[in-house]
Amino acid sequence: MKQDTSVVIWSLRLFRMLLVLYPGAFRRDYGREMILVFRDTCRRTLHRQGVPGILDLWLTTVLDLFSTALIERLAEVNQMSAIALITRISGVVTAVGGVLLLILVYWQFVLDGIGETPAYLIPLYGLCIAIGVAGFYVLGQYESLGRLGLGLAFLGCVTVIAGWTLLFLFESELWWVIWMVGMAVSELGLVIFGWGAFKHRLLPRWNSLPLLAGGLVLAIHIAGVAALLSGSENNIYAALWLATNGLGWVALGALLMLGDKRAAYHTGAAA
Amino acid sequence: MNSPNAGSAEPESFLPLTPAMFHILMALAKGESHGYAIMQDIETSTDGAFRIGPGTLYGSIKRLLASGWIAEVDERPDPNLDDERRRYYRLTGLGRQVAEAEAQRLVGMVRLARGAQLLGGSLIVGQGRAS
Repeated sequence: MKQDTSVVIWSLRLFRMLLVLYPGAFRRDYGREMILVFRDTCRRTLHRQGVPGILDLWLTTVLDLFSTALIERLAEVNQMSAIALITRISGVVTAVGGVLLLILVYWQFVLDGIGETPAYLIPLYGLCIAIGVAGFYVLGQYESLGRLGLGLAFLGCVTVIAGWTLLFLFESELWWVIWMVGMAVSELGLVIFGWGAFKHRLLPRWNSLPLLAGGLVLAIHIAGVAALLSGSENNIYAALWLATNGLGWVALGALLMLGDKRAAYHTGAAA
Repeated sequence: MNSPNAGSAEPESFLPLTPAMFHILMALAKGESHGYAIMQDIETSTDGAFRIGPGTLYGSIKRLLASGWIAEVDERPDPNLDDERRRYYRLTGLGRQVAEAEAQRLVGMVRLARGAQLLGGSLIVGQGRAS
């Protein structure tokens, strides 16, 4: 009996987690009922067919969930305003940019740069982050500090892309410096934007996140450069810097994706 | 399927319905019901040949509610008899008209199939099968 109960309990836990596939509004309206229906179905299936029946139920349920979640997501996109759609897409792209950087860190520092390091990930990352910064700009109406921060962050991303493109074309130390400066400028921009968001509560939630992410990354960057100038080993700093940067942009991408539903974000708060 | 909210449009203009939608309307034609009971009714009435999962069920219910073909029942069941968290649904007048129109359309399809001798000249309806 205990085993039966745990099968149902774990099935319900997993089912609840999978509901995240659906748009938030759909989950709020029908999530609880879906759980009730699935719970009753699990109980009946377990009673009639045992654990093999539950496995069979899961096969059909997973297919059902994935296909209908896709339909609901598409229906949601269909009803979105242009701004909401742009910010949602830019949020996804931003998170992808963060993941690209994490892949690079894994490749370079965990796999120890086996084979050719996928250096093209850096300009791709820059492009993704530039799109994310543009997404933040479209989403809100910011005061001067917020606009300055986003402008600097965008400029930094463009510099990163330019530095790496030139590095591919013309081998020179200069482009490395330009790349590093671009990263620093984008981090500084994020800190300034983050301060504005924190001070004026511009975001619907996680107002301290841009400041935290930008500040942490910039601090590690400065520490890494200081270590480099003093001639000490800086691999740890570099790995930590890039990893924090990647994680930060993944979180900021999630923030962008969540932000579009809050009308307040567009209006009074930024005044 | 045309826009379900098209004011005074004829029920036929909404056809064809998806199988899930039609089955849900048929289940509610028998009386008010909640999600799990609708699922069970569909499974039983089709002899297990047609089953829907929670996602299909509530995705369809969402569209049926938006179309005004079904409505949520305000009264909650007696907590001693049923889980009070369940929501009950009922068929509306428009929903009944649309379901009837869909049933007529399917009857027409069966006639066509019989005319094309796809049903072997005889039609036996029962246990969710036609032979």
